Amino acid sequence: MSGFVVSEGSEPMLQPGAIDWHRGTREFLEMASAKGRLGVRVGLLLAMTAPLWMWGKLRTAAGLGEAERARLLAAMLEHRVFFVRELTLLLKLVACMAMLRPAAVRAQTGYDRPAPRRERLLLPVVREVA
Amino acid sequence: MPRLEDEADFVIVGTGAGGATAARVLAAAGASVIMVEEGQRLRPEDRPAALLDAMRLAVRDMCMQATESRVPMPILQGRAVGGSTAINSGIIWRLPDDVRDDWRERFGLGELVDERRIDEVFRQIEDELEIHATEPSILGRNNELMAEGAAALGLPGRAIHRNSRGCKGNARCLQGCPEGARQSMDISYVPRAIEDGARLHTGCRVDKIVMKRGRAVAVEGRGFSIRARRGVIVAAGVVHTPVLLAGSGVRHANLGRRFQCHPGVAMVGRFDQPVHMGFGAAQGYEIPQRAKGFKLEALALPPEMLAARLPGAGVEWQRRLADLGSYAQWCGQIRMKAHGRIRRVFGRPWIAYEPTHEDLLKAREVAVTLGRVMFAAGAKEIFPGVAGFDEVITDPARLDALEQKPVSRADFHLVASHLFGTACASADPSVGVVDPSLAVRGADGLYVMDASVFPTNLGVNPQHSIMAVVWQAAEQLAERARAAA
Repeated sequence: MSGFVVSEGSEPMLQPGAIDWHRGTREFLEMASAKGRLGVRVGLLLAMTAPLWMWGKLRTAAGLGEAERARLLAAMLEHRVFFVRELTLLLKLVACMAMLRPAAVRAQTGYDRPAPRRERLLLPVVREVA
Repeated sequence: MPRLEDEADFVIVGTGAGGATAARVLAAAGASVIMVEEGQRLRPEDRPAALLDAMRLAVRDMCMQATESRVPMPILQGRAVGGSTAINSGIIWRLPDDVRDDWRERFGLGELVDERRIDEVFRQIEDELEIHATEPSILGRNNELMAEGAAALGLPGRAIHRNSRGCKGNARCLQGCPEGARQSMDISYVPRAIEDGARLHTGCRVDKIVMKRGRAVAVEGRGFSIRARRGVIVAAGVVHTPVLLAGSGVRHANLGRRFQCHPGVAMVGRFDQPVHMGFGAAQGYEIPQRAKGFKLEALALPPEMLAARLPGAGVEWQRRLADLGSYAQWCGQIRMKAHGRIRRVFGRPWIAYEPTHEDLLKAREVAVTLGRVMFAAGAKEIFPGVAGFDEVITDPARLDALEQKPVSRADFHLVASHLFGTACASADPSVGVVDPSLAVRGADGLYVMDASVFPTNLGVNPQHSIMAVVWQAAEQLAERARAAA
């Protein structure tokens, strides 16, 4: 999951380590239907073995550098086979669920309208008239 | 755990637009009514903002329910008290005149959709559910931009009419309105029926309708049995109604057939101004293109879904993600011609559906039109989401190339909502699983009251039509019950 984001050149909110990917994936697997769980597991298997079947490299995705892993996932998202595209998109959605769960991260994206600033209400001062 | 046993005049399976309306009408007429719902009753304050939690609570199969085809298409349905009305955007359209005429002429449903009477019913529902055009103050930029694009191109757009009371523009219709503003069935007709004496059993999935000498007398599921003195009304939704009927011994050549829907395609665009999709009515503006067979709608998605729709991975994607407030998303609902079939396989629905080539051309036209409206509204770049074509378009002229692109099913991310037709109503016994009073042929005391009975799709959002048709049928049923008593 962390392959979707890389540390180089990234925004602070998305630095690796800021998001608990394992927890996010586990939560999805716990809540999802059987079909959803199967989809994520097959997607993870495809992604892990993708360097071999996409690029002919004898290694897993875990053995790739950050930038190369992101490039691999981007290529899978555009793959000509529908199932590869869809299962990678499912992984991306799971990653987004993990990433945007903390309110602080969501707040930084600008998705929500900033709360209007409240003008300080100044009440008239009642003075005793001599 | 003790077995739940109960009894009423009418037992209604499902609490969506159909089931809840039937309960509201029958209970008001003095009948004793029990509603049986597979999902849970969720209070507005319990509806979570996080997508994962919200989908687990209220969306069937967490939107993993899909067609069984080479290219599966997810089918979005609610699974909670209120059914799909508890997760939709509350968009209200009356039954179009051409559809009413077609149903009258081809399917003999003149009495069910009688123009004068059904217009009265529409008006009453509109009053009760406070249906009105989305207020300008809560449109938000996602909707306003579509209005600006439509105006620039001279397209006939309008603020969407919704069933809402005091909407604050939380853009959380899918997750569930935390204010209870959307007058979905769980907020409106289910409580109203309960006030009139109806009872509600939640967490009860009906597995079987018990038939005795050709008459529906009870419904059963794990741990419960509920007897029906006068009748069982099935309103389990277009996917599950035919499965339940087939599993209970109902036989008809068209049961599960004639399945139709309105699949949708969506498009995201980036603007050089704040959009803040998190504020505004989730769906507050639309551009009907009825003659062309589709309708464009603004559609605010939860941030998790919007983020996943932004193209790419790595640095480029992160850059876009950090600017999530600049994106708008709109979609197009397509009135497809394809017919599918829903079968019962090992007790579960098996959904076969394949859009026709003509339908796919329509999907392409929707994508092109959405793109043109987005550019007309000032988008700097758009993500058409069509496989095998540019991932990002910055030049509106590229839409001409998209317009010429050969299409295949795998090119589009289609998501189906608005489902119809798996227990079709017709005066012709060879066509209609149910007759014009919505009674199941070949069974006494068994009725279908949801969009399964619609002989065709509508080309508009179906909730209002479901409620009005069911209202009519439920009133007739209440009258017959009164006369029999």
